[in-house]
Amino acid sequence: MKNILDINGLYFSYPHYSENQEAALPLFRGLDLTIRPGEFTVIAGAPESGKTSLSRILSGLIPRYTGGEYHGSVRISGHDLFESRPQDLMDQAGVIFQNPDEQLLTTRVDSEIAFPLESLGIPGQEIDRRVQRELTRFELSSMAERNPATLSGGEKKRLLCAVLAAIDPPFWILDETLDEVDPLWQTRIISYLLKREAAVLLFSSKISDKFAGGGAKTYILSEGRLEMYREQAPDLAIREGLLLPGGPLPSTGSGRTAAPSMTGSPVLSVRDLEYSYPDKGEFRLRIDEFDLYRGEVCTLAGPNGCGKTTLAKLLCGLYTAERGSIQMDTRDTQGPTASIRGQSSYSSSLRTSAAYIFQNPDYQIFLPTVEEELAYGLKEMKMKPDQIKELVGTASRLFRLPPPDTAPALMSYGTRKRLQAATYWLLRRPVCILDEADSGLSIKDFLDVLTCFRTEGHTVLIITHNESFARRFSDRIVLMKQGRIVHEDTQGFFTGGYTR
Amino acid sequence: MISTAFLDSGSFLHRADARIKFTILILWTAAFLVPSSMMVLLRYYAGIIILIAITLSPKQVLLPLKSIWPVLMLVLVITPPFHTGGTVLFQIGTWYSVTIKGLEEAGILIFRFSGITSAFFLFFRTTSIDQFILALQWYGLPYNAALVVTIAFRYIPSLVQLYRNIQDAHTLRRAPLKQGRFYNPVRRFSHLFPSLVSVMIHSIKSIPTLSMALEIRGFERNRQRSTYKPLPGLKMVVYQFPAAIIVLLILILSYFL
Repeated sequence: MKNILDINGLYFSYPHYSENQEAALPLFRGLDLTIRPGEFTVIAGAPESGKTSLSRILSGLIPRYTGGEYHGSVRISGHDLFESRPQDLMDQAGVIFQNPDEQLLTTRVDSEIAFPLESLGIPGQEIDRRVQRELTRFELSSMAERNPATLSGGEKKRLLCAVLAAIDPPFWILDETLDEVDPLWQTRIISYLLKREAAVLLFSSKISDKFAGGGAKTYILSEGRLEMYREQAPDLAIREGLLLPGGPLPSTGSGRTAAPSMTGSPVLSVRDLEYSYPDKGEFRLRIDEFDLYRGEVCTLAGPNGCGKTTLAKLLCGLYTAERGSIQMDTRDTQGPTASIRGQSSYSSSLRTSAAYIFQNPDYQIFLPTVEEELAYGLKEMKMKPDQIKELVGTASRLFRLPPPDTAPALMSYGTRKRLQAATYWLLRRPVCILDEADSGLSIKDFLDVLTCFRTEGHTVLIITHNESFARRFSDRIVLMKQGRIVHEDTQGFFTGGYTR
Repeated sequence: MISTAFLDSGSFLHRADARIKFTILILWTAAFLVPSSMMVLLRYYAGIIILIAITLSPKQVLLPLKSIWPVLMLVLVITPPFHTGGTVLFQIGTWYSVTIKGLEEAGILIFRFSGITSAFFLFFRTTSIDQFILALQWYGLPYNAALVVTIAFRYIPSLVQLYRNIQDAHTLRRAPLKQGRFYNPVRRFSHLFPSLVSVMIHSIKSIPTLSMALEIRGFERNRQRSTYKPLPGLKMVVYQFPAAIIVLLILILSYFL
């Protein structure tokens, strides 16, 4: 049988823009991979290991857009990728980018599915048939007229899967596509992919047991080469931060040995909270009662679009509730923010009492050096220079940050995430919210961030769909559905067996 | 949350053909730009307001002015001193005076600006982007140029959302205010700069990604594109053409009345 993908001895390096020795090494150093029709292949790798670069090479976008040196050969269904244009290969291979916002082009969900079909010159009636079929398959029919930009992260990824399913190429390239997708849809998408005859190449920053049943081959991308992953020899995967010691399966119950007390007065208390978006139809968030206790690590889980991020943004004062109250007790907060005392139910006060670590670290990083980034919030608080210097030094050591004069733009994604977390650690916010914090991040980087906050006694709220993370690192898991906190067994949710 | 300007409903303007609506939009915009008195422009603007109230909702009449009111206020303040003829209504020293003529000129600019903005608002509230692009192509605009318009409509709200996200992210990093103290406007302005720099960096970074996304979706593929939702046949244009003529006559009559 003819191979779908043939990579032979691929060497590739980006043009060098810095003196950084690490950047001077080729990204791929003799990479080989073969995929046959119908095969499901997973390439796991730490952030910056080259997963996105490889996915874009396979889509014909690199080196076309970036330049760089390469040799070796890459062929999809016999076509030489270095000699082909991406648009000419769209019916041979389809790609889903890691960040869905980078790939959405139109202002309607149905038009998004139709756009590539129009490029292929498919007649209007057939386009309509395929659009309706995929809207139904991916349960997007009720959103057909919505602007894709207004969908949640997981819904956007589902839409991109629907786009690819409508094109129906024989080779699917998925860059962290299952991140942000809720467990039910992860299971459905994997099941759909396994049933198809198309070859699938999935890039992931973690090794998951979800593909094991389908006989997927898993490789680890490390130091520019691919190495087959075997469950019996997980050392490389653990070293690369792709796997927790103990395997991909979640342990039952909490991994925390010293859970904080859930009695006494909570650090954050929500009562009868109500909120709805002006343009988001019937969605309404209603939280009757929700408390977070000092030093607690709590996971907020739930299907895509159920209101997790909305609740998080209300908790840190980015949205203002229509009804109800959010009480933040900052009396015992140590350090620079000790000046905020008493209880607050105002959005402006909440904004300076809670830390919300955005999924994209670049939203929060904007200064030319690491030192300036770390010192920014402290200078705003009118702290003395020697005090700032001392705190910046401590944060740099704790979060393993590069030298103070390093430009954040040249740092890896994982390091930028650590820098982002360090800026909040310095502000001593009593509550820290990590929204999809594990997305695109190695387990090691995530653990580093969490440990720093935990050792300081901060209360941490994690939003994740990852069962391993939730069970191992949190004291309790709170489940949300359709804008409400529900008191149900979370086991069903994480195995994808829940009702929406 | 962000959304496109289009709001689906069954009003007569929603059902009207995009080509006819576009023609009327151009005529109405031209009418606002023709040198006219304040009263004529007021009539043109009143027409738009009535249409917004009927087809959308009376609550939406002031919505298009929400984003331009600082400019309108600026026009109201700086236009009168440049027209010193006629009865003086108000004066500060010798350097600032407001006359009836000055107020009229300010009114002309305000109605012109408000009217054009409201006309475009009404058009995009009642016409989907797909239909608008097809209408532009029907008028002879090349596909690539039409796509640029689509992309602009896709990315303008995205940029607004990006700005909000960045502003939120920066707000959360700032120092706490002491209870009961007001936000210093100078400090507020100084905080605007990092947000704008971040938006600019993100926007520049998104240019190659957007090109990549277009190419993998088949942009500039050597094949004739098909159309998912074609415009209605020419019969619809012929059927609705008298509406454009009636609007033109009303505009001309309003000018001379």
